[in-house]
Amino acid sequence: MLTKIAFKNVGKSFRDYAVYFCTLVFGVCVFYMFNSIYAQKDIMVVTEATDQSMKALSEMLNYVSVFVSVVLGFLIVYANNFFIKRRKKELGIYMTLGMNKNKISSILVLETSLIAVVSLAVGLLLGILGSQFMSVFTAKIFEADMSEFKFIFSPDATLKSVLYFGLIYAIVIVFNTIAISKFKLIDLLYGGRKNENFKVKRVGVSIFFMVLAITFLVAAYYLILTNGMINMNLKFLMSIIFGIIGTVLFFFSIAGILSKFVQSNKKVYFNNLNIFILRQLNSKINTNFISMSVVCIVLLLTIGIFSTGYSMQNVLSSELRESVAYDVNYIKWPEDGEKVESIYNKLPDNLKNSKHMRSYEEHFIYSQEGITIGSMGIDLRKEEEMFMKLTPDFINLSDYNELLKMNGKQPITLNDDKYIVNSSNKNIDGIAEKIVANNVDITLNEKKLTPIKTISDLNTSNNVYSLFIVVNDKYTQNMNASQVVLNIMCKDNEATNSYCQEIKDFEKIKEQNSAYSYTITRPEMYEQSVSAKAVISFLAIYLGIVFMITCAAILAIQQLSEAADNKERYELLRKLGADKNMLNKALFKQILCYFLFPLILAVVHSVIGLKAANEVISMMGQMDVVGSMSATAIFVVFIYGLYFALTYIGSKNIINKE
Amino acid sequence: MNTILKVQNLQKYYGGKGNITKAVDNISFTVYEGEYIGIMGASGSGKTTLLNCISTIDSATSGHIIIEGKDVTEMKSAALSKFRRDKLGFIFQDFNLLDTLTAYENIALALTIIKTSPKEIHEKVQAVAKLLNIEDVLQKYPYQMSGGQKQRVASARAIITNPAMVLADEPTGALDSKSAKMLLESFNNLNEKINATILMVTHDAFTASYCKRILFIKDGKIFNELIRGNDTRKEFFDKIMEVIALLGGDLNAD
Repeated sequence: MLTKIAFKNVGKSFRDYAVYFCTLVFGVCVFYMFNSIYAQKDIMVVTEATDQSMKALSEMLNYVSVFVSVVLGFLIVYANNFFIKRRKKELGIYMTLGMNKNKISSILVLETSLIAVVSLAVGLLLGILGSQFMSVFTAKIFEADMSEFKFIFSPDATLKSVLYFGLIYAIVIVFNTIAISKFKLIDLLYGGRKNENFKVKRVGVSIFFMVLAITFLVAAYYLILTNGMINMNLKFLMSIIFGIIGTVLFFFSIAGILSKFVQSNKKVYFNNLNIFILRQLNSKINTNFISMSVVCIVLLLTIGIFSTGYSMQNVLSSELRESVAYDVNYIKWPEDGEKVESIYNKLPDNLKNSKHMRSYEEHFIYSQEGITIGSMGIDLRKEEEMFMKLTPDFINLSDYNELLKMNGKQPITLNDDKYIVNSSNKNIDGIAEKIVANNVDITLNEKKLTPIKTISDLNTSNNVYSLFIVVNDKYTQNMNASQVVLNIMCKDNEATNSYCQEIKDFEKIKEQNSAYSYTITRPEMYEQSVSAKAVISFLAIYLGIVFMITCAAILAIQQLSEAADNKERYELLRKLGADKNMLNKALFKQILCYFLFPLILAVVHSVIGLKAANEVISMMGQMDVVGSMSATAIFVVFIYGLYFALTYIGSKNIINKE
Repeated sequence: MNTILKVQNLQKYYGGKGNITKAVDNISFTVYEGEYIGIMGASGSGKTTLLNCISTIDSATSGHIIIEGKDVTEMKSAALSKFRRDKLGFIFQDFNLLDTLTAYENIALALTIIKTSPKEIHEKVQAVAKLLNIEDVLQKYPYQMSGGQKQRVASARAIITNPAMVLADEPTGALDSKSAKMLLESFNNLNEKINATILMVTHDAFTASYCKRILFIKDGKIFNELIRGNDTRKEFFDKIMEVIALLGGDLNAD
C-alpha cells in the first residue's frame, strides 16, 4: 500500500517537480562526465606524458568533486525542503487518517529512493552519452589524436556517482524524517494559511539606497579598472568589497525604484496586469534580495571562470611548440664564488656527443651594474612598471652570430658605437620599441652606444624573460657573466625524445652535477602547457556548470514556491475576469524579470571585470575573446533558459491546476 | 424595464449513474434592470450552485441563462471569460482583495483587466471611491483596513467596470454587524444612485432585509418569493423570518 502511494505521488507530482528532477539529473550527469575523464583516454593516442597529466587532472577533479557534491548536496536538500513544505497538507491528511509518523516517513523514504534511483539512472545514462561527446573535447585539449571510436564507460565514475549521490539522498532522507517528526498536525493542515509580512519601504529610502548602491558600484568599477587584476592589493580587495556591498544594496532597493518608475508611467502601470506583477515582484525581491545578490555574484563568477576556461582550450599548445626555440636548453647559474665555465665541456660524453644531436650553441649572458630598464629614462606604461628594476641581459656579438647561425640566419656586423636591442618576449616589446625610438644611449667602457634602428626578435633560449642587448665582444670582457646557456637542436622529434630520456637517465644517476643548474626541453614545456591548460579549462567548465545549475535552480525554486503561494491570487484574478492568456503573460513577465535582474547586473559586472582582466588575458597569450564570449553566452542561455522554461511551465501548472 | 437576467428551467445535476444530486432543479426567474434581489436558502439548498451557474463559473446541465439578451449556456469558454469580465461584477464573502496591492490598485486592476484607457482610470477610481466613501483608504493596503472597508473596496472593484449585474456571495458573512450595516447601506446607495442591478446570495435574514425582492430556495427549487414593496425594512425582516420558519428553522445552521 505504501509503495503504491509513493509511486502514485512521484508520478503525480512529476511535472510540478520537473525542476527538482532536472537538477538531480544534471548533477549526476555532470558529476559522471567529469569523473570519467581518465577513462576517455581509451579512444585517444596518448603519450606517457599526456597520460600522466590526465591522471593528475582526474586526481584534481576528484578533490573538486567533493566540493561539488557538497554544493549540490546543499542545493538538493534546499529543493527537497521546499517540496516537502508544499506537501504539508497532504501529509496532514495522512495523519488525520491515522497513519503514524513512521509510516509517513517510510512513504517519503520510498519516494525519495524512487526519485533517487530514477534520477541516478537517467543522469548516468545522459552522463555516459555526454562523455562520448566530451571525449572529443578532451582529446582537443590534450592535443591527442582520436585513435578509434569506442564506447567509453567508466565503472569508477559510475560507482563514485552512485556513492556520492547515494549519500546526498541519504542525507535528504534523514532531513525529511527529522522534519516529519517535528510536524504538528495543526500546522500541517493549516500550513497553507499563513500571514505574510509586507515590508513597505518608503520610496525615499529606496532612492537613498539605490544612490548608495550605484556609488559603491561605480567606486568598485573605478578601482578595479585602474588597478587591474594583476596586483592583488588593498585596492583590489576594496573593489571586491564595494562590488558586493553595491550589489546587495542594488537588490535591496531595486524593487522600490522599479515601482516608482513604473507608477509614474501610467501607460505601463495601467496596462493589463502590470499593477499586480509589479507588486508581486516587489514583495518577492524585497524578501529575497540577499539570495538574489548571491545569485548575481555567483553568476559573475560563473561567467568569468567559464569564459576563461573555455578560451584556454583555444590557446593551442602547437603555437607554443613553435615558440619553443630549442629542443634542449641547459642553463647554468653560477653560485657565489663559482667560476663561470662552459656547460658543454662539463657534460658527460653521452650527452656531449649524442647521436641524436644535430647542432649546439653556447653563450654567456652578462650583466652591467647600474643599467636597468628604469635607468634608461623612458616612459613606461602602467603594466610595464613591474619591469623597472629589470637589468637587461648583455650578450656579445660573436655569441649572437652563433645563435643566428643556429637559427639559419646570416651573421651580422656591428659598429663600435651601436648596440642591438633584442626582444623575444611580448611583454617587453613595447619597452624595446621605446628604447629604439628614444635612441637611448648606454655607456660602456666610457663610450656611449646608441641602438640600431631594427629590433631583433631572436630567441636566445627557451625561457626568455628579459631584454637582450647585443654589443661587440670587447664590451663584455669586463662584465660579470651571470648565466651560461647551452642550446641544443636534435635531429628530429624522436631524437629529441631520446635525448631527453638520456638526460633523465643521467640525472637519475647523478642528482647533483656541477655542469648545469637545470634544463628546459621542448617536450617538457609542451607537456606543462597542455597539462596547465587542461587543468584550468576542465576545472573552470566543471565549476561553471555546477554554479550555473545552482543559481538557476535556486531562482527556479523560489519562483515555483512563489507560484504555489500565489495560487489563490491568480485564482482571484481569474474570477475578476482575467483570461488564461493574460495570467500566463503575467506569470511569464514576473519570472522573466526575476531571472533577468541578477543576470543583467552580473553581465555588467563581468564586462567591467573582463576589461580589467584584459592584461592578464593578454599575458597568457592571444585568446579568442569573441569565441569564448559566445560560448559562454550560449552556455548561460542554455542552462538559464532551460531552468526558466521549466519554472514557467511548472508555475503555469501550479496556478492553472483546479 | 429592461430584463437583465432571465433564468429558464435551469438544472444542475451532480454525480453519475444512479446517484444523481439535483443541486438546482428546474429554476426559472427574471431580474430587471435596477433590481436588488436576494437569494436565500440553507446550506446545500443550491443557492451557491445557482450563483455559480449565473456567474458562468460553473456550467448548467440544462436550461438557459440569458444575460442582457445573450445566452451564456451556449457560449464557448473564451467568450465566457470575456463576457464575465465585461458584464459581471463580483463581491465575495472573504473580500478577495489582493493583499500585495493598495486599495487604489485593487480597484484599478479591474479596469486594466478590461483594458480601459489609462487616462480614464484615475478619474473612475476616484468617482467610485467617493460613492462608497473610501477615499481616505485608497492608499492603504488591505491589512491596514477594517473588514467593512475591505468589503467596500471590493464593492468598488465590482461596480467600477459598469457591469450589467453585480453578483454578491454572502457579502456580509465575514463582517461584524456594524460594518455589515454600513456595507448594505452602500449597496442601497449604489442601487438607487447609479441604478446598479444587484443579485445577492445570503442566509442571513438581516442582510436579506435590505433587498427589494427575495427568492427562497430549498432542495434546488424555488420555495417562495417575497417582494418588499412599500414595507419598512423591519416589516420586511419579520416577513423573511416567517418564511424561514416555514422553511424549517435557522438558515444560519451551517
